[in-house]
Amino acid sequence: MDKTIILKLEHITKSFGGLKAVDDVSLEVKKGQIQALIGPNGAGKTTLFNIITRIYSKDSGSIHFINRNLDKYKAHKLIKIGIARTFQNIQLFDEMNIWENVAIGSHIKMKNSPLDAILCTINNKKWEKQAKEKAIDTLRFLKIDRFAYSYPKEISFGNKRLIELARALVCDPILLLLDEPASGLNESETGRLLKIILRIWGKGVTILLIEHDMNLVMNCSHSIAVMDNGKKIAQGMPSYIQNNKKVIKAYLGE
Amino acid sequence: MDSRVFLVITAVIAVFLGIFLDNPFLLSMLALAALTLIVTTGLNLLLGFAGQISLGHAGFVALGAYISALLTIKFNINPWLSIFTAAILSSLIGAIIGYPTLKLKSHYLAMATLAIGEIINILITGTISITGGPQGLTGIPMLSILGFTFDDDRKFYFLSWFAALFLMLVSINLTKSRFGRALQAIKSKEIAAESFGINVHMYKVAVFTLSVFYASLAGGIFAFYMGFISPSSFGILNSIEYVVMVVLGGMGSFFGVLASTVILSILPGIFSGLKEFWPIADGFLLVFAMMFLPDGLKKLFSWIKQ
Repeated sequence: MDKTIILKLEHITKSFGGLKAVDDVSLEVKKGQIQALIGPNGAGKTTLFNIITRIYSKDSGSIHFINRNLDKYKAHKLIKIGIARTFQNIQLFDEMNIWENVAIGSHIKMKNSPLDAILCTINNKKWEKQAKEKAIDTLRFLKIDRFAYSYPKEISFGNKRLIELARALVCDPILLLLDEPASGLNESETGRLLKIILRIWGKGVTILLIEHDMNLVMNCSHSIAVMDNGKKIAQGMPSYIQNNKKVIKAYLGE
Repeated sequence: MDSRVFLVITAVIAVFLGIFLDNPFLLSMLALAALTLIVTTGLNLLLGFAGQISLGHAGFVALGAYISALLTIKFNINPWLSIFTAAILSSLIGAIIGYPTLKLKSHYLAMATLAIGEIINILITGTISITGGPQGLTGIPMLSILGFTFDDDRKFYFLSWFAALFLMLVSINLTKSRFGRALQAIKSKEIAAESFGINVHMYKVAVFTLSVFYASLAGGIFAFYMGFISPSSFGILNSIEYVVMVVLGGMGSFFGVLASTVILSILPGIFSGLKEFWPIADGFLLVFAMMFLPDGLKKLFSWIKQ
């Protein structure tokens, strides 16, 4: 496998009953790039995300992440090998405050055992302290550390999106999957998000981005893949996609 | 205020009552309340933190009680060792049952656990030659350690409150770590929890097993306290009452559950003339708590904390 390719999807197909939600899609994501995935509603983008993250099983095809066949990994193992994601519908844990929500992202890297926790050992304190500091540092990186002790219900929608992002970033992912991070955001919030995505990319994180906001996609992506009716209909640089007839037809109709 | 400060205050009150309370009936009620508290603390981890219901926990209390009593009576094993062994064995059974059962969700899980509790009860009632059947099991000796015998209510009061508060401390410490966060994450958003490295099913089975351990440990101590056990102490109504205690106390709040457990354990004893009506009262309390007090007594404690 080409060393610059970090994620390789080959001929992925997934049906729900008679509906082919993803139909023979192949996609390569290059290391250190922002790869966008766009398409009209119902095109199969989120289904593809859920297949990559092992929430759904695929009917056929293969997925490789840095030479690893992802078939061998269960959903909860992916974060350990460096794949983190956010959700289209915000999935914060309501009963925990913000730093605790973010610290969930470090869960897999912590080495304190249940016995450590019960006995309040030094090891337990060390890891818990470290997880909290890392969570707050990540919130600071996104300039939302003032919410560390608030609860999800107390903060705005736009900030909730950033907290989801913080939770995904706290585990130092190699590949970050963002599922419509700008949906529900106003113009200034989207502007802020664009800067944040570029800062995350600047840290060397490869990003696969599903998004409807064309402005955001065109301004940050190195490559764009377009899906329609479960199929990939085009892929290329933003300027190429903008003028692609198939893409225009998928979005605007005949 | 830290929960552990609350725990110390509770311990001081418990010791104070244990020394100065002179009413043997009340002492005995409170000792039994502490044993129930062990069960509800474990159930709180399962239901309040991980959001998984069990309507069969009385069955696991029964397992702890019967296995420990039988180990001592039939095999002459040291009672303390019996209680502990029974709790371990019951936990193993709990893990084996929990593994497939906890793949179910919401009311399917409720129905499955309800059935498990009933099956355990029917098995105990049916195996008359071993368990004494509906007549119960007698001849369970008293607990003693280094020549000190737990032969009155006051001694048992201290033993059961020590066990209850110790296990509560264990639970508090556990929930204040990444394990508590993982359980709450599972309760809140399972798919997100899974995506962030939490093995959801394994955690559910683990917390179920731990709550079974608590329940059967309480059952074991109960058997040696009463000296006599029968299946009627471990029926479906007991299982439901444990759930009522956790819901009314406020899911996920150890001290809310403590308050509701003590209140609901003592009230039927005080109003013993109304014994037949308690199951009805339990039903009303559950509906009332869900409709008007969704946070249970927890709300009260958060006001005090503030």
